This record gives sequence, structure tokens and C-alpha cells, in this order.
Amino acid sequence: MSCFISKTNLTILAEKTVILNLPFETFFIVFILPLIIAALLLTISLKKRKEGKI
Amino acid sequence: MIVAYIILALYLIAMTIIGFIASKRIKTISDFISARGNLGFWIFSLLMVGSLVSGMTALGVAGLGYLTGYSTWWEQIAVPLSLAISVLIFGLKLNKLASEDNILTVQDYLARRFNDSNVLRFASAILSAFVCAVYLVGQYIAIGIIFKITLGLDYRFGIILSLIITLAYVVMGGLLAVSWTSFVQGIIVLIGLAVSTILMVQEIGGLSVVHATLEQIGEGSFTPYLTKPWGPWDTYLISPLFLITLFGLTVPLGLAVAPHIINNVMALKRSRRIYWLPPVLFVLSFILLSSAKIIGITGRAAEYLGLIELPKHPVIPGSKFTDAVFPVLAGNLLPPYISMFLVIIVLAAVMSTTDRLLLTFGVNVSYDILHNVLHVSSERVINIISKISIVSVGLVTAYLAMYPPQLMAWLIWLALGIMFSTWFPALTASLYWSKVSEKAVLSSMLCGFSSTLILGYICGKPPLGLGVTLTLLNAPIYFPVIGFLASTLCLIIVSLFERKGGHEVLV
Repeated sequence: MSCFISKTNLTILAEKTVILNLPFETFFIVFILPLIIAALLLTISLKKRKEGKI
Repeated sequence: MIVAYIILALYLIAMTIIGFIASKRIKTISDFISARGNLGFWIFSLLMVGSLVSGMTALGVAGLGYLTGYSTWWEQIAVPLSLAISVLIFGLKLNKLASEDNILTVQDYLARRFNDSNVLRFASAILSAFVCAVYLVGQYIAIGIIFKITLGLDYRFGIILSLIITLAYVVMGGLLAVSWTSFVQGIIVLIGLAVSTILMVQEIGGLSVVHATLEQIGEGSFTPYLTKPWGPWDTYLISPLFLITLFGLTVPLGLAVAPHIINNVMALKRSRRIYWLPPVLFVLSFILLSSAKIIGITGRAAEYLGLIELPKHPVIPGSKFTDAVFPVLAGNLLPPYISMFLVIIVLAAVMSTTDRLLLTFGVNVSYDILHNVLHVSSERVINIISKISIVSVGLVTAYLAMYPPQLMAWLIWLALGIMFSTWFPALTASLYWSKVSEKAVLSSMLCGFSSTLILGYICGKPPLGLGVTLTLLNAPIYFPVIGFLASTLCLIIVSLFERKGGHEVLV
């Protein structure tokens, strides 16, 4: 129940958050998501590099 | 204006000189096609980015940004991701096989994977040549528009001038010339787009002002959703399901196997640095794509603030020419000594794709078909035919771009979907599924190609198409996913019935 309440609060917080005059979800896909994907690609690359034989 | 012409002339001369220097290193057909598999990390990275970033990127992405705002930002993730996918899923394996088995093209790989199948090689080469030719027409149309908007020159003059220069250095220096020029062009586009974006956004008052202005716009297409990451469920182009089928599937997977992009991986020099490519390619192309989109978004805000006015569309009556937003914005907001570099930035973007398409077409005709299918063994003859085919396709596609038939616009619109449904299932299965058969791959490619053409007719705008919008759960979807599903199903069913694999060592 407490988890549900905190998630709801997070959702409300996200809805109210405006960064650079952008809604939070837009700010997330414009600025945060590309960073997450780049970090993920870096992790995959490092993992493949460890396994890989050239 | 005279300075702009001088800069343009210097740029074109520099490209020709690079082609001439590269030509001194071309001794064999392998040098011409794949630079003997000897491209270094950064040259290869910018070749990949240059092959991807075209006139569509510089003008079309900005135009889409103007029209839809942030609701199509997924494009800025999907397109860069295609390069990372191309290297991760296909490049690492193909590059290894290329260095071990002297494989120069994707057609080489497919043929050797299935007992030297010439039928598969021929079908893939023909489809690749067709897609490259269609894409080339689109690039020349973009070049003509750039010259007309930025320098006020005749549409056809721009096409002829860039045709001569690209033909000169591609014919002289093959892939080596293409990669060296792409390296220079890539740096120009990267720095040019990023710097002009920062300057133009600052001129308006910063990103916060741009976004606040977008919120105030009450009229025009997609206005309530310019600062949202998607639109309503049933709205064409910005519906979540449409965005998933377009930018989640068709764009990243279709571009990952585009003939002018995937064939580059055979030319990369093998070293441990190859593993750094996916994040590097993603970041470089993300900078380019996001710059172009923010330019378009800033243009929409600038228009609302009365700072710019877009010209009328040259073909569609009553519409604004949204693809002109980048040159119009730069002309109005940037100082003249910076905006005169605009033509070079956009031209570099277009030429870096055009040259790779020309070369891929030439290789398909001379190496894949003439040398490997028809068994012409003389390197001299292959070399000559390769150059003749490059010049011929350049001339024909440039002519079609000058007088574009309606059918051409339809084919350009279809090209990405064809790549997605024709090569992605076939190539993925060939590399990762040992039980897949030659007939399964061939039938999958033909099924993907033909089903996408049929769907293109059903979904295309009248008079060439029927104008039907495909929907799923009342939401519009991007039609090539159906062709992709048909192609994948065909591949699996035929393979299961055949139960005969090829050279498992190449899997």
C-alpha cells in the first residue's frame, strides 16, 4: 500500500514538474533517455570487448 | 554573396582533390570496393555517420521538427540507434567474416553462406541497386532545393554541379575517396549544425523561451502537442502506436541494413577499438539529428514571434514549405558571415550520402553481378564497367530529379520500408540461425519487397495509391511492419519445410 502511495505521489510530482518549460516526460525523452541509451550501448560494448577475440 | 560562392568553389575543389589523392592508392578491385578493409576507427565512424546523414537530415528533420515539435523526438533516438544496431547485430560478425573469407559485400556473404548461391547474390544485388537508385533521386532533389533556397540559383544547376563533383571523386577513388570526403563532410556537418543550433536558439532567448512560445501557439497542425512526447491515440504521425511502428521498428531496423550503410562494415580495419563503435556512432549521430530537430522547433517559435516567414510549398498549393525552415531561420537569425556557410553544411550532408549510394550501385552492377554472377574475371573490365555504371546511374537519377515523375516520390517514400522488410529478417536469420535455408532467405526477401510495394500502393496518397490508413486497435500504424511480418513468417515457414542449412561456419 505504501509503495502504491509513493508511486502515485511520484506520478503527481512528474506531472507537475516542468524543466526548461517542458513537461517532465518530454524532458526525460529529450535529455535523459539518450544518455541512458548511450550508457547501455557502452556497457554492451565493454561486455562484448571482454568476451571478444580479435 | 560573392564570398558564399568562393566558399562553395573552395569546398568543391577540395572534394575533387581528395578524390584525386585517393585514386593514387587504388590498385585492385578490392581497393576500390572496400578500401582493402583498412579504414581506421574515426574515418569509418564518420563514413557511417556521413552515409546516414543526408539532405533529408538537414532539411527534412528540421521540417518535421517545425511541424510536429517534440512529439516526433523518437526519431532523434531511432536514427542514431540504427548505426549502433548495424554494428552490434551485423557489423561485428560481418567484419570478422570479411577479414577471414575475403567477403567484400553483403551479397558476397549471402552467396557464400548458402553454397555460393548466385540466385541469392543476383536477387540481393538487383534489389540493392534499385533501392540505391531510388534514394539517389531523393538526394539530388534535396541538392536542387538547397541551391535554390540558399543561393537563389537554378534548381537544375545545383544538381548538375554536385553530380559532376561527386562522380569525379567516386569514379577516381572508390570507397577510399568516399570515406576521406565523408570524414571532412562529417566534421563540417557536425560542427556546422551544432554551432548554428546554439546560435539560433540563443538569438530567440534560449530553450526556455522557445518552449514557452510553443505552448502559446494556438493555430496550425499538431499545435496542442508541440511540447509533448506523443499525441492522441488516433492521430496520424504522432499516435503512440504509429511512433512505435515507425521509429521503434522501421527506422532503426531498416536503416541498420540499408545497402549504403551496412556494406561499410566490410571496410573497417579489425582491431579491439571496434567495440567502441556503437556508443560513438550513437552519440555522433544523435548530436546531428537533435540539432536539426531543435532548429525546426526553434523555427516554429520564431515564426509565431514574427521573426521569420516560411515560403509557399513549390508543389502542394496552399501549404507552407516546412523543409525550408533551416535556411530561412539561418538567413534571418544568423550573422551573414555565418549563414553563408549554410550551403556548405547542407551540401556536405547531401554529398556524403550521394557518393556512397553511387558507389554501392556501381559495386552491385560490376562486382556482384558482372564478376560473381556472370563470371567476368578481368579486373580491368570490372573496373571500367563499375565506373560506367556509376556515371550512368548518376546521370539517369539526376535527370529524374530534374523532372521528377509522380512515381518517383512514391518510390522514395517506400525505400526505407523496402529495406526494412527485404533485408532485416533475411540477414539476421542468415547470421544467427543455422537452420535457415537458401530458398527461405530468397523467398523472404522477395516476399518483403513485393508485400511492401503492394502495401505502399494501398497506403500511398492518391492518385498513385489508394490512400488507406492501416489501423490497429483504432490507432494508425506505419505500413512496412506488415511487410516485415510477412517476410519473417515466410522465412520461418520455408526454413522449417526445407530443413537444409548452408555453411554453418558462416553463422
